[in-house]
Amino acid sequence: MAATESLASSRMIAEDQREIDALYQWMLRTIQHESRDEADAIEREIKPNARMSAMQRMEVYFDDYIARFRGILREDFSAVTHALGRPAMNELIDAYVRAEPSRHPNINFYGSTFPDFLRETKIDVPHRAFLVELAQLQGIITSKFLLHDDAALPADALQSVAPEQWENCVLTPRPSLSLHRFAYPVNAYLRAVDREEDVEIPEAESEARLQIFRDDKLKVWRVELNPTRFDLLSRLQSGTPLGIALMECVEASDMPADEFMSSMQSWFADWSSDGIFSALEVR
Amino acid sequence: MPAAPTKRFDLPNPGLGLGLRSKHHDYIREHRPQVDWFEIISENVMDAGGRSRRALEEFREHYPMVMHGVSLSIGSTDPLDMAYLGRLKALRDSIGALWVSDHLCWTGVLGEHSHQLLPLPYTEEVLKLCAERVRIVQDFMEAPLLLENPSSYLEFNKSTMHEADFMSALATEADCALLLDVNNIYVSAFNHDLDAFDYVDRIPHDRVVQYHLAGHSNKGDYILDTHSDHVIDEVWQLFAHSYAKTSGAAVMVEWDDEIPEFEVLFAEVNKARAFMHDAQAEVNHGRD
Repeated sequence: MAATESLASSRMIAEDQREIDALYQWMLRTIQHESRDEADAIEREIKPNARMSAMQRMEVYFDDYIARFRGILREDFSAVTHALGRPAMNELIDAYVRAEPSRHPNINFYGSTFPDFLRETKIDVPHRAFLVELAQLQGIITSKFLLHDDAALPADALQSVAPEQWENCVLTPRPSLSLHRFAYPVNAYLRAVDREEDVEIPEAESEARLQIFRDDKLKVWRVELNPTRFDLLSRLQSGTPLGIALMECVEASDMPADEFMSSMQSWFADWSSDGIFSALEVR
Repeated sequence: MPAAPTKRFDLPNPGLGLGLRSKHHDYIREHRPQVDWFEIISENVMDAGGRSRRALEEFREHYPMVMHGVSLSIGSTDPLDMAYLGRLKALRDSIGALWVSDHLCWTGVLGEHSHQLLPLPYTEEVLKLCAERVRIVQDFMEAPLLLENPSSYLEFNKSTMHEADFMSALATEADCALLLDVNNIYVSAFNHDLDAFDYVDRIPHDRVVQYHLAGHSNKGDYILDTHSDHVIDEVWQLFAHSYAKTSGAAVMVEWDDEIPEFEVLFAEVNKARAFMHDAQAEVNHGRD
């Protein structure tokens, strides 16, 4: 609520607009909270017609308001909805909408804090830890569809770097690339739901590492990585020059050095063909 | 017959258009249908770089585009969101959109967005507020703004003006253009027990630059503007009555829910073409 309070205190409302401003604030709150206990005020402000009372006319807006958000969030978090069931998901969405009104002109961005809400809400959420991670994964995927991305480096760009310059090479990942760790196998669960397979809510298992990116055809991919590959890509993503990243990665890995070297070549081949980098600089 | 339009703001009349929706991207790519122009929802592309933005960049090479917004909130008491307007202007300039439109409504207050097109109390105070804001928007955008009459489901006891008179006064006061949604007139007229033809007759048609046509859902006690069906006969008749008062304006068919195959939408466009032809013939006959 801090942002609202800040805006409210800084708003300069002209004298002749205070009445309308008060009406707007009342109406928005009444719609947001489906405040049927505001019946007297509704009767005072809203004109009935021959077919509908003032309350019934307000209820059209009550219903539309929540239906819009339910529709968007059930779509963005389809697997969470699958796991919870629609009634329980609706209950959570309703609570989220009341707690965190939309502040972006594009409703498609509205669910960005839903995973945090799911973690913190006092509502009893079964399998909460799993569902929070599942919501995080679906939120990340949605964000990939919406973001602006840079063009990918040509697939042969890495090959054009002279061997003696490799160690000083810094690769810039595209904005659509991100790396994530999950305690639960949420990627496998999401895949099963997308394929309409029967699937149980899983227990936490060994940490899963995911590379998520969008390709040039705007398809979002999720790739599960082994710890060493994830570590190397993380170091490159943070701007570490290639030579240092490789050295630190070998030292930190359980993977034998010869296996690392052969694997690394196939990783770079994948990354080049996937187009996950946008720039290359030799320092 | 009405006087010839004089306030078209030198804006072109691109003809018959459709809403650009992702369901039809592949069809448009493959068939390049004979649609004169497309309308995009501004907010769906101005902050996003995904499929809709990519399609827009591709199709604008082949079709003129116009921008239609849902979040300007021209009637709000919040300060105008200048960052939003900046992004709107940048998008318009980058895609060469013919014009930008939004709704005569408010969508939120205190920085919160309801994502609903909420009705205004039609009073002198709100008229003054809206006119001032429209002027600021037009100065910033360096172009006329098209304001669309909304569908609404309630009226305020405070209102002292007919919606059409409010729009007319606002258009004159702020010197803005109008986007006349004939289905919205039908919907609001039903919901508020108004005469839809009288509503049309009160509109200054010399300022109408664009029309919207759409279907709706009749719930019995009220009509919901769902854009989920064919345009009904009564709306076509209302459109013909209104269109005859112009000397040509851009016309667009909206269909945003339960979106059918492109051919179904295109058939609605061709139906609009026939009504426009008949309306124009009536005007020409009246001038003989």
